[in-house]
Amino acid sequence: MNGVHDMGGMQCMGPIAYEKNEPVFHAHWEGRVQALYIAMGAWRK
Amino acid sequence: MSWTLAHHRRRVFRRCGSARRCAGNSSCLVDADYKKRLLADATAAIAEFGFTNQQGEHIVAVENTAKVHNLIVCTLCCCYPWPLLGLSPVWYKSAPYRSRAVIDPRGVLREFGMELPEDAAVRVWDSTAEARYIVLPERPSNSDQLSEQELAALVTHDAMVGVAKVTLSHAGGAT
Repeated sequence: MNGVHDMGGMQCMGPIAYEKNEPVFHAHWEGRVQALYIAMGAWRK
Repeated sequence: MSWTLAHHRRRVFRRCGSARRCAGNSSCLVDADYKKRLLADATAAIAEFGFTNQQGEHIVAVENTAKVHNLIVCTLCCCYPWPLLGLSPVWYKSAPYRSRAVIDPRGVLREFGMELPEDAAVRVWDSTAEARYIVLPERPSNSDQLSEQELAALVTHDAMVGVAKVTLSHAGGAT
């Protein structure tokens, strides 16, 4: 696959920002959106 | 937020619960038959523990040894075995990890604090929309006396992606 989304092999992206003991969600809204996504998938809406 | 949404959020997206680590890996470190089943058909072996869900329809387990180290990436986006590991961490989704894991895996591992011996091969597995991977880490030396539960506590999320080894001291990676 060729395109901007295929990042394998690209260069000069900088260091990896590793966060030790990273939380599941960094902001409250992230959890809400994820829950909506899962719930809608279950109902096939 | 309705009960349903809150319930989904709590139940599905707590990353890397100890039971799941145990199901995916520590059983293999002590149970040769389970390890054989996991490496032959990880999806079915993991389903024995009831861990089946969206994004875990086809899971492939790859085994780390003294001579082979496996690393998992998704160069296209952030494909990840959700039922086992939860949501992918930010670094897994980031451009630096996705771009370099396939061209400089040893350098990437060095950033995570892991220096691989020169004679160890590195295999990088690029996840797809269909196949998700988990790493079966190498059992740490001097761990013969540990029970399955004690081993489970040592298996970190990072070890199952391949950016950390399982150590007796938890060094080299977060949960």
